[in-house]
Amino acid sequence: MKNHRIPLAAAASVALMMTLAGCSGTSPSSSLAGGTAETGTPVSGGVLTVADADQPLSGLDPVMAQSFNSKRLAAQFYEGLLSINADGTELLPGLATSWTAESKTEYLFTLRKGATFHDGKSVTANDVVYSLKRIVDPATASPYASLYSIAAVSAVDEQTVRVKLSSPQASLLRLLAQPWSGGIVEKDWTESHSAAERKTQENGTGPYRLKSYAEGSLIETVAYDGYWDAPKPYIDQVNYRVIADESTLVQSLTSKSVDAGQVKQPTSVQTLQKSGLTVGKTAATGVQWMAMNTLDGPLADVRVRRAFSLALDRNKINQISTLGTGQLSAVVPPGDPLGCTVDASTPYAAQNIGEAKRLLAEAGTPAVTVSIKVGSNNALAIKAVQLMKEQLSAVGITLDIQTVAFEDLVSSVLSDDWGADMVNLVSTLNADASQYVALWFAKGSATTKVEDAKLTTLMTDAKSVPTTDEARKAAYQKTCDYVADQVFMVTPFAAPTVNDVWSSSRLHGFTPDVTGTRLFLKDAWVSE
Amino acid sequence: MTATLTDPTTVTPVIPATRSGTRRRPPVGLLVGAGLLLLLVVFSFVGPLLRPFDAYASDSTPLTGPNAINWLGTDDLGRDVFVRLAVAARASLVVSFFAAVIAAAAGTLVGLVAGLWGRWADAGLMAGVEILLALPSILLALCAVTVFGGSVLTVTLVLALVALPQFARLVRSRSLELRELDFVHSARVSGIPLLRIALRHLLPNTFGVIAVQFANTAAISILLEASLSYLGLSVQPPTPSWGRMIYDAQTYMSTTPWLAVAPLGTILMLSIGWGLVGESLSARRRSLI
Repeated sequence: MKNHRIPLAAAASVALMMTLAGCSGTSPSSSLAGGTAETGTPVSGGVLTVADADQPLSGLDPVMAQSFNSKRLAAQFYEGLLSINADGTELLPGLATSWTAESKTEYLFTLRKGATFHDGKSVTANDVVYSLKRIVDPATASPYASLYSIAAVSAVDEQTVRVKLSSPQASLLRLLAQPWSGGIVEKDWTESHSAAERKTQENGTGPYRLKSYAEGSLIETVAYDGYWDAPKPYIDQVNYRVIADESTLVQSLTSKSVDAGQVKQPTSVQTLQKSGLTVGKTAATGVQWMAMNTLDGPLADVRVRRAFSLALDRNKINQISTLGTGQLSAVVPPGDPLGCTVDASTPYAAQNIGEAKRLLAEAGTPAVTVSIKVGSNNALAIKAVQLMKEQLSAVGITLDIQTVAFEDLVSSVLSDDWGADMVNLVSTLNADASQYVALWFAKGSATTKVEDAKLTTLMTDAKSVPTTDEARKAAYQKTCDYVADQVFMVTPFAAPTVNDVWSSSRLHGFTPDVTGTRLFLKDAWVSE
Repeated sequence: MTATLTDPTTVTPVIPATRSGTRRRPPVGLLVGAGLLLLLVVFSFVGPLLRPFDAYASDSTPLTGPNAINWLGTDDLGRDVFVRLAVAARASLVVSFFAAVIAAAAGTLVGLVAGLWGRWADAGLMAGVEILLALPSILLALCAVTVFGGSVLTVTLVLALVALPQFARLVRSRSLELRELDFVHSARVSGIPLLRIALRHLLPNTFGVIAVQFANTAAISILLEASLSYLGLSVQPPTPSWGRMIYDAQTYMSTTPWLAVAPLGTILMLSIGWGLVGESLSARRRSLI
């Protein structure tokens, strides 16, 4: 067990950083493909105006793009060796046209001919070697470094790159398919620009290149005419305006002063749909984690935890809190490509008041008070805990709700003493499914309030299964079910954390994707 | 000798004295203000009894408009807005009243000590008061609630602290004026302890200014409490408060505006009620001087 301690703890801290990055600005989320792409003949030209709530907080350098707003723009400028389809279930060619797993720890990638960086230079094997080494180099301090098990990267020839792993890594190809966690950069350009310059400048291979960057107001991008997938992108120019306030953003969309944007609130979605705008099908990646301190206090007794879980009517909580936009969720949200499902077979997930009372009586605590800290900015969670309080009171559990500033909540989670029996955070789409569980249950992590050997084993197995996505998904489902059985946390629902909205009279052929970063904007076109 | 130790209050009237021989009708503003306050007090206790709903139970369809069953509709969790509005009135009334009481008591004490003792006591206490005054009240309240947590008690104490300087300055000013009057001089010359002079001679003569400031403080406290509730830093959910109800309603403003209008109306009523009482007392005091 000991050898797993440090990697899992490190993964937990990365997961928390990413979760917090999402919460502090906008949240990484997803939009399923769902056949929203429009058929028709693409037309080149035109200008698209997009409204975003914020600008890149962690800059444009792809491997440093930790916040969602950075990923969202980096996805237009940079590409990985591979790419993913809209719902994130399939790996596709990217800057590599093919790849081969020579063994569990060795991969060969054949590079695409004709791909160039925005300064016109060709993508070479040396650039790829440099990029991958740079990600895992501690000097880079990339938030994605700890997710890789790369031991060596070498150029076999001008078009082929070999990657050797120190141990089997199930998530390797998926990480290489995301423009941020696997973004390929040009060696000379990167070394000749400082970290500060790389925050507001770019030289990627993506469909769009940066035209201007006005801090806090407007980012202009233009189509890269040397893009390898010509005639894409079809839209000549995409302007990203900053509209921080969601109600203003909604008004801008309904008045057609902007063509597309992303909203968070279910009520905004309803308003925009009524106004005739198109809302992309979304994936529920924002799970409401209500983590329990199982080491101390009333929740140290599994019978109390199970009674807590049995008291909840999850369907009602989900329906009322998310206005039907959410889904029942486990610790890994259903919107993730490797997400877990919650159904009738999920342990202690269906409401059973009688059994809950019996368990509490058996535990010798027919009346118990449980405190929970919730971020004052998390509207969905505040709704949910109020409903939970009402439902829990029916079995004799008093839920003491403490709404605190987000910063205080983070301090609590990171400290040894939560200051409450439960804490609530909301997830974002993670680079790898292992991060969802590592945040809360990694042995040795400051955020962990669970000690369970079986859980640690399940997590380790799920992370290292070097087979298909189906096998990985099954491994995470097993982990999720065990968490539900022991009620290490309660996850009443997961909701989309952002929703893509656009005017279908202006923007055509746009397919939202699971990452919410507009990966397929290059396929879309505009009409006047 | 015994004559010199006689309490001069027995022979010195409270200043300003009421004009003798005339009975004044209470001003209309005072009646309306007191009426509004009374109405809200009655509403807070009787309101929940008028409808068969629990303020905390999500037992109706969410976001329904005003109708014969849910007189003011339901909120986003399906709770009856009318009942929650009535229950929330208790918190607002309690916070505004007790914040003003505590601020008046503490501020008066500070003002009396500073005004009567003078010198270092005056300089020290007033420096503290000036510091409190220099701090933006909402920021001070935010910091305190963040540190000590949001609850009715914390918010009440914080609002009292914010209002304390006004009372202290008013009472000190009045004390400085009174201590130069003959009956106070007589008392001091007679050897009556300062504490007794403060309680028996100065305090009764500051009631006028305290009453006016009390009403104003209560009115301002309601707005501050609503602001803190709006920021999620006052009473904790699911306990209803008017400010929190407005905060929760803002995302539904375009589709269900009554959710915000109802608590906004009651905040205005309570604020206007206290404001009218304060203004009427102030006008009455001016007319008596």
